[in-house]
Amino acid sequence: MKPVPMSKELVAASSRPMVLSILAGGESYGYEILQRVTLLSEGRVQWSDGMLYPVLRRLEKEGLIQGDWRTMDSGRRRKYYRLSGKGKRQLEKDRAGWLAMFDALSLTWGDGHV
Amino acid sequence: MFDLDDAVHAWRREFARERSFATSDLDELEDHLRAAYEVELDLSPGLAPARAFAHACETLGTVDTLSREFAKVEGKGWRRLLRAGWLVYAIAFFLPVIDGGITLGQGDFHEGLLPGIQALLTAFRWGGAFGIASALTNLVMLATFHRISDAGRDRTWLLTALAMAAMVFNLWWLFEVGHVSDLYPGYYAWLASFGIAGTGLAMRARALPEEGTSTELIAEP
Repeated sequence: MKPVPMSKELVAASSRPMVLSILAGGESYGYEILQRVTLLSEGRVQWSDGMLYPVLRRLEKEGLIQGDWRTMDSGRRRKYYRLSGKGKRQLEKDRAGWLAMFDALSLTWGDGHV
Repeated sequence: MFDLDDAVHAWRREFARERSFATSDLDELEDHLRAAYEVELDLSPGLAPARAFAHACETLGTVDTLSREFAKVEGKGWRRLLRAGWLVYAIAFFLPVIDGGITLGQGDFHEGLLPGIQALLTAFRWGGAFGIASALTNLVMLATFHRISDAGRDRTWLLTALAMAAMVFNLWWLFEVGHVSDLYPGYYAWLASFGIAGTGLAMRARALPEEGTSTELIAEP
């Protein structure tokens, strides 16, 4: 599917729950997270590659995720991220908020108001 | 002949010039770049390696764009520096600035050490055109209080330039008074506060995106 145009505010607001949700499914690294975003959204959400890393750094600074450097078989080093306890609690809050918003919007749109 | 390691080193050298990136940031971006390069070649086997690398670099983002975003994450430094500037500025008004009895402009100072607040009033009253102009530079510092977090890049750069210009302008007191030792810590603290606040503002301005541009997490069209 083609990427859906989104406001930067929406993308910025959804970046945290998106990253935390992906990491809730298991540890991952930057490139893989970007691929997961594209895959999960069936190509409708596409983040610009380099912009993910400042987001990861911010989430790490906030203690929501934890990074861990590992050396791969090829000898290259790669940073893997996993969800912290604080991140899990934050994800629960984000999830409740987004679901409430989604339900409200779905009901509004279901009534044909838009 | 394209050499991936050489290309990566050249890319890394360019990024390393920006202070926004820690070595670990560059390691992580390099890993991404190499992974993207490999995927490019896997998806398009006939693609020239140099083209694949150029495309991987392009999708990763430019050094300016990424450095601004990384600087935003470390964005507290500018605020701490600006607050330090304000603190030094406030303290300067209670510290002695100049010894009494030195003739300045059209009038004489009072006997004894003049604290900053009194020196300011004296500059307005007796300092002549320069004294008034110097006293008015305090308005620059006051302007940095007003909704500075919401200020755009242009306004922040303007305030940076004004703060630095005020600091240079106020060096004139050294020549007016005649000797470095005739001025007391209050003056130097006051002078330095413009430089500290100006540096904080410059850090802030540098991290802000250009007016009308977006560097958020949205893929380039």
